Amino acid sequence: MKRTWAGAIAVPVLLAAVPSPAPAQLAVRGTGVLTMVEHRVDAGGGVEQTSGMLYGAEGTLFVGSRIELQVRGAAGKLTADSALAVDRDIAEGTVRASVLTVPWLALHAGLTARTFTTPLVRQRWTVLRFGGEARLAFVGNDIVGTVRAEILPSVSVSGLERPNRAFAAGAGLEWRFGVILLGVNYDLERYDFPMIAGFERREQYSTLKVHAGLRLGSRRTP
Amino acid sequence: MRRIGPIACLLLAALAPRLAAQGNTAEMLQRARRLYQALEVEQALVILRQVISPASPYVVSPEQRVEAYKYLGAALAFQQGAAKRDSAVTYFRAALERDPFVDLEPQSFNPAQLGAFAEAKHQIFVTAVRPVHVDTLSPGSGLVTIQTLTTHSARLHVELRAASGARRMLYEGDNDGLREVRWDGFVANGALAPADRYQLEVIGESRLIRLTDTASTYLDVAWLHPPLEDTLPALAAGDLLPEQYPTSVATGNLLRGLAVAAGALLTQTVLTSSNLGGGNALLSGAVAGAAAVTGVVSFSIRQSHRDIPANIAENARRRAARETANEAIRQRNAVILRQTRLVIGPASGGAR
Repeated sequence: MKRTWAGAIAVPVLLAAVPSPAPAQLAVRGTGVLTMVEHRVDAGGGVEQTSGMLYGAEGTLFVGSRIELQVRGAAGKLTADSALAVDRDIAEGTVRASVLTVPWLALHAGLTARTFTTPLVRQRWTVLRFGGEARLAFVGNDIVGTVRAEILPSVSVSGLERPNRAFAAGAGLEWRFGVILLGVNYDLERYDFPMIAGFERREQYSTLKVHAGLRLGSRRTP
Repeated sequence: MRRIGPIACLLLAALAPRLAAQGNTAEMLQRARRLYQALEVEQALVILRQVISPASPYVVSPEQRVEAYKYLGAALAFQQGAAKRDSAVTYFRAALERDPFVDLEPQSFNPAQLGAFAEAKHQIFVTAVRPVHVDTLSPGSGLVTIQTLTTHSARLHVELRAASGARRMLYEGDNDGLREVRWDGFVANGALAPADRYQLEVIGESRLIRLTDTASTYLDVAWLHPPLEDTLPALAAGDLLPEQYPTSVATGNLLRGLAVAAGALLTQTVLTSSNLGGGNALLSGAVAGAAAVTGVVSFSIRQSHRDIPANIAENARRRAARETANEAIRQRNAVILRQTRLVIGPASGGAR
């Protein structure tokens, strides 16, 4: 519970530290996102593995030269890849606020809500995330590579204890052709739950996202 | 201050006899002229001979000496006899050799004297030019007058030459006696005479005897106009954007691609749980592969295409803007230069 409060305080503090921009410095970006998901869970009876495709969209508002506000949503179906697993529907949404401390480094805070639904049960996840993203602009600024790492200080999962260790990391690449964007990202979320009855539950959520869309507005950031 | 007084007294004491001597020569010449005009020619000759004598106790200036020779010639020409006339011609020659511009006023001398003087001028050949006086000339509307002379009939060339190479032939033709040549302030190509030091060279080729004589004087020409506006200096390296990527840029792009690839692979291999069987290499490999290929392709492209079109265009714009500004300045300066007046004056170098 303490972690949740810490996160809730950190987000506005992070945003308040950034100077307010002029109204003219606004830009938007909208992309369609295709996500290949692989979800692995070991709840003590062996690895349950599911995978599938999520379809979603992502919108980002660039405010000034330093602030980015992002909303992302996706939904799809994961099918069982192992004997222990069962098919499930998945829906998730993320809001994220980023601050560019320097042009090549963005610090962000965000909240993800995710729901796994099987014929028998619905499991709801809420994840608070803090992290940083290094943006490696290739010369010419038409290609940007990203490498990111996040800590997930507050994770609540319905029917489960909070994980005692959770983090995420990833890397990606985005190509820009004028206002058109095309990108690919690999992300991994890992959750290590506390030991219960002599066994530690582990979950791992890997994604490969491909996005394409448009970016409109004068501001251009890495 | 106390020392200056005695020194000044000594200087004045040293100069006093010379000033008095010049004054005595002037008095002698005045007395000789009065005697000549009173037809006391013999007495006038005695005084004039004293003036030109090396034994004269007084200082005689070149002008006074010329005056003495002139009146000696006139006095002897006034007398009868061929010997006297020959002597008169000799004295007139002596006067002309010292000052070619010396002349006998027709209303003051009789035909015999004028004839002897003309003969003297025929016997010698001298070309001369008078130093130019300080004058301000508005080109196109004013003229500077330059006095030249040949003692008798001759072919005369009067040319103005600047150290910078600009030149102008002011006169080329026949001449006999004094000629006033006029200059409008332009040089041969029609341009305004550049500010410079000029040599005014006068060459005379006698028609009567096989002699060529030259004379020259120097003059300085300066431009007088309102201050001109400076043109913009040439663009320095710091004023222009780099038009090519440095070679390190290609390497940088390759490293960025490899960093992203490494990030994806490390995430999949290091951060995944071994209890869950690691990560899915297909997912991370897709990003790693794309990043590596992008890095290599970008490296290759940047090595072979180093130009930065946006910077090249921006530099061209800056150069054009500078040239446009300079052209405007040049036009404004041209308007100012059209108001230029020439200040012409004598320079060191002298004249003969």
